[in-house]
Amino acid sequence: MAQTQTWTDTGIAELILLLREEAATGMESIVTLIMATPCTAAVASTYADPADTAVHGSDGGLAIQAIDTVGGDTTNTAGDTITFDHVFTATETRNVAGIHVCNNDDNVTFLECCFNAVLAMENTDTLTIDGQSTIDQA
Amino acid sequence: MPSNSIASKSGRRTKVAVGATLARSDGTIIVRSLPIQPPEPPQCVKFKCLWKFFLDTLFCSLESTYHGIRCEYAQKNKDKKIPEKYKTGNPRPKNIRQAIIAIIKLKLRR
Repeated sequence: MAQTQTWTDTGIAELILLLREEAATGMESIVTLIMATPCTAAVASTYADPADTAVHGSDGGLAIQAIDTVGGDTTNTAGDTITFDHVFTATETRNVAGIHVCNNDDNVTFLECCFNAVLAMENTDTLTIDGQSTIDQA
Repeated sequence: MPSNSIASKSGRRTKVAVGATLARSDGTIIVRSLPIQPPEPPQCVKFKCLWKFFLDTLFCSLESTYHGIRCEYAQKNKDKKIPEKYKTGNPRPKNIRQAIIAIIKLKLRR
């Protein structure tokens, strides 16, 4: 199964709202996608309706939380990126199929990623996410 | 045309690359899921361009298959000693031939 990742339509819509200085918030939260089989990221996915039959992690250390680090690089037109890094620590056994990167209001998903395979997390296991999105690729 | 004109920006799109590393509490890596970028669409309708797109797509499919099997294999054998490349995904196959060989080797191990 391919790892798939994409900006969602709702994420781009939130970006447009930000650019128009309308009510919107930036990339600040992250949550796991719980599913027993691999999912496929889709642009049509939303915060309320993730890929396939995946649901947001709600406990066990895998619920929505503030992203550890959100960074960026705007130094050149070829490498304008936003980066995000986060570490989840499981306190229960869960099957993690992917992640959602969300806004600060926790109601919009910017990015959806479904992993190569379901990651079977056990108590005290860690899941380190290091992501990057190139906004401007000259 | 100025480099920052709207016309020169057309055709760009956003790309996302996410790495996910599952590890034990002591930092021992169990498996790392890696991003796979889909091939660029063909730039012309000549046979050469279409053939390149076909090969790129085939490679992407094979590489995806390899990493899917690799992640499952690494998790099933997390308590055994297995080659580091199956945990980290690196080095990753660089061409179709390497991808096919890597898949066959992994399937023989399972």
